[in-house]
Amino acid sequence: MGALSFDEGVRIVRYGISADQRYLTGDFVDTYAATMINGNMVAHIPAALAQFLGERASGASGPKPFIIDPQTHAFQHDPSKVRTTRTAEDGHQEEVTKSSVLRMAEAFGEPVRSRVGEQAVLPGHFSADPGRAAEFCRRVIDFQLTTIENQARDKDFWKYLSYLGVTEMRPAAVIAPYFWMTPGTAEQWLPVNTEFIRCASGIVAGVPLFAQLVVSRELLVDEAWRTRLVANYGEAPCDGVFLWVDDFREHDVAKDELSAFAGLARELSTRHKKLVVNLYGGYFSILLCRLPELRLLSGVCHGLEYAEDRSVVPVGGGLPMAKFYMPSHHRRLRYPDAVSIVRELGGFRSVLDYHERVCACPVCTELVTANPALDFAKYGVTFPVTFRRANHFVTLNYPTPETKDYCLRHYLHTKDREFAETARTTALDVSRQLESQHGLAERCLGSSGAQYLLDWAQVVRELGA
Amino acid sequence: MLTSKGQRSMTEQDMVEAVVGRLRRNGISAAVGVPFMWRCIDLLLVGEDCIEAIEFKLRDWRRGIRQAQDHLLGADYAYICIPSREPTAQLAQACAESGIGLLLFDAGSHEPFEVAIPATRSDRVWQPGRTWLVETAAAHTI
Repeated sequence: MGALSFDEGVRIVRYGISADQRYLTGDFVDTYAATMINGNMVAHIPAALAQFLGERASGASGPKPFIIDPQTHAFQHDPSKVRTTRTAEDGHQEEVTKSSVLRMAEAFGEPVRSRVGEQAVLPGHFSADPGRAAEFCRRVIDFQLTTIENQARDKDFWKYLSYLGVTEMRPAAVIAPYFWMTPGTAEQWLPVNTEFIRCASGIVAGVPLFAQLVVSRELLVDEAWRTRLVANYGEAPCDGVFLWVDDFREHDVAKDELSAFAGLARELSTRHKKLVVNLYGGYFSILLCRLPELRLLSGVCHGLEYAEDRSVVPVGGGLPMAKFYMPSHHRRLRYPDAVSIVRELGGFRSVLDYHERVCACPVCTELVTANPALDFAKYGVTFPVTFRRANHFVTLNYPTPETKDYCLRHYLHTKDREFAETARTTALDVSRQLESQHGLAERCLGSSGAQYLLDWAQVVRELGA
Repeated sequence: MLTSKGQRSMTEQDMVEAVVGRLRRNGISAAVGVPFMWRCIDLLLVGEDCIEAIEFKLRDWRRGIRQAQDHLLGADYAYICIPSREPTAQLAQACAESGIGLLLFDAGSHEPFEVAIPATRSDRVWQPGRTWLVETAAAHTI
C-alpha cells in the first residue's frame, strides 16, 4: 500500500456512512489523498469497509490510503452519549449501548470494556496502572493495523491486489489513544495522553504515528495552556498531530480563536517539525494548508459536505442537511440565502454569467443550461414531511434525494478546486479576494454572517506578512 | 399540554385552524402548510396580484421573523402572527428593520387577526420562487 505523502498538503475525506461510498469513488476517487474512517464504523462493518477500500476505491497503485480514528474519547463522556433507544422483542422501549461502540470496547479491552455504556473512563483508570495503560494502547494500535487487513485477506480482490504487488492493507498512519481536554480536565488528561503517545511509539513501526489533540475552544485560546500543549505534543515521539477543536466553526468563531488555531498549527509544524492535520476544517484551514507562504497544516480533513466542524459529543450521529456551497464565499448556505447571493452576483442574468460569476463545476454545468434562475432551482427542490410533535402536527421540508446529490457533488467539485487554486495564489491575493466579497455577503447574510470574511482575510494577511 | 387550571393550552396549530375558519367565513380561502425553500409556510393567502405569507408563533418571535424573511423570496408580504398582546419595543423594532408585519390573534374574537404592524412590500421576490410558491399553494389550499 502506497505511503501517504504530506508534502503538498493533503486532502483527506471522512467516510461517514455506507451511502457515502458513491462520492468517494468514480469521478471523485482521484480528488482526495486518503479517507478517514471512524473506529465505530470499522468495528461495525469491517468486511464492507475492506471491500470498499480494497476494491471500489482502489486505483492503479492499489487501495486508497486510509486512516482509522479510534475514537477512544467516546469512553470518557457521560455513558448516555453512547447509548441509544431500541424496541425490544416484547415491544417496549429500552436503552442500550450502541453495538458499534461495544465492539470497539471489546477490541480495546480494559479499562473501557467493563465500563462502556455504564461508567465514564477517568484519567485515574490509566495513571493508576501503567501496565493496563500500555495494554490498552497496544490493543488500540492493533485494532487500527489489523482489522481491515484481516477482513481483506478473505476477499476475492486480495488476489488482484497480490497481482499488483500489494502485500498488506494497513492504514497510512496510526493514531495513539487520546482523550478530549478542557480547561477543567486537561491537568489530568494531558499526562495520560502524552504517555499514550510515548507508549505507541514503542509499538508502531513502518507507519507514521500521529497524536490526536482534541481540545475545547476555551483551552485553545488560553495562551498558557496552548504553550503547554505545544511543548508536550511538540516534543512527543510522533510524526504528526491530528487537531480537533471542539465545535470549531471557522465561519462563526472569533478572530482570536482563528489566530490561536493558526498559532498552534505553526508552533507544532514549524518549530517542532510535526505534520499537522486539521480533522474538521473548511476553507480557512485549506488556506493554512495550501498557501505557499503558509503551509502551517500538512492536511485538511472534511466530511461529505457537512463535516467541516464537529462537536466532540455526541459521538457520531446527526442528520446532515443539504445546503448549497457558495464558491465565492466558501461556505454552505441555506437555499434562500444562496438565491440572494447568486442574484446579487448577477448569476441569474444569463447562463454565461452564472458560470462566470457563480460556478462552472461539472454539476453546475450539467444543471444550468438554459434559464439560470429556473435551473438553479434544482438545488432547492424539497418535499414536505408531516409528523406529530407533542400535541400538534409539524410539516418540515426535506431536500429530495436528487437535490442532496446535486448539492453534494457540487460541494466536492468545489472543494477540489479550492485545494488546487489555493496552492497557486498568495496570502495577500486571497485576503483581498475575501474582503472584496464582504460587502455583498453583508447585504445578504447580515453583518454577523459576513464577518468571517474580514477575520479570515486579516489572519491570513498577518500570517503571510 | 395542559395549563395550570387543567385546560388544554393553545398550540400554533390551533391558531392556524382558527384563522383559516374565520377567513373562510369571510369568503377567503387560504393555503396551509405550504412547502417553500426548505421551509414550510404556515398560512398563505394568494390573491390575483398579491401573495401574503403568515408564520404563527406562540413564543420565539425572533425565529418567526427569520422564517418569514425567507418567505419574501416568493411572497409580496410576510407576517408573523402571535397571541394578542401589546408588542414589546424589541419586537416592534425587529419588525420595522426586517419589513415583516405583525398580526395579533385574539382567541375570543371573530376577526381572523388584527394588523398591529403592517408589512413592507418585498423587494426580494425571485420569479422562479414566486411561480414555485403559487403552484405549490394550489395543492395546499383548503
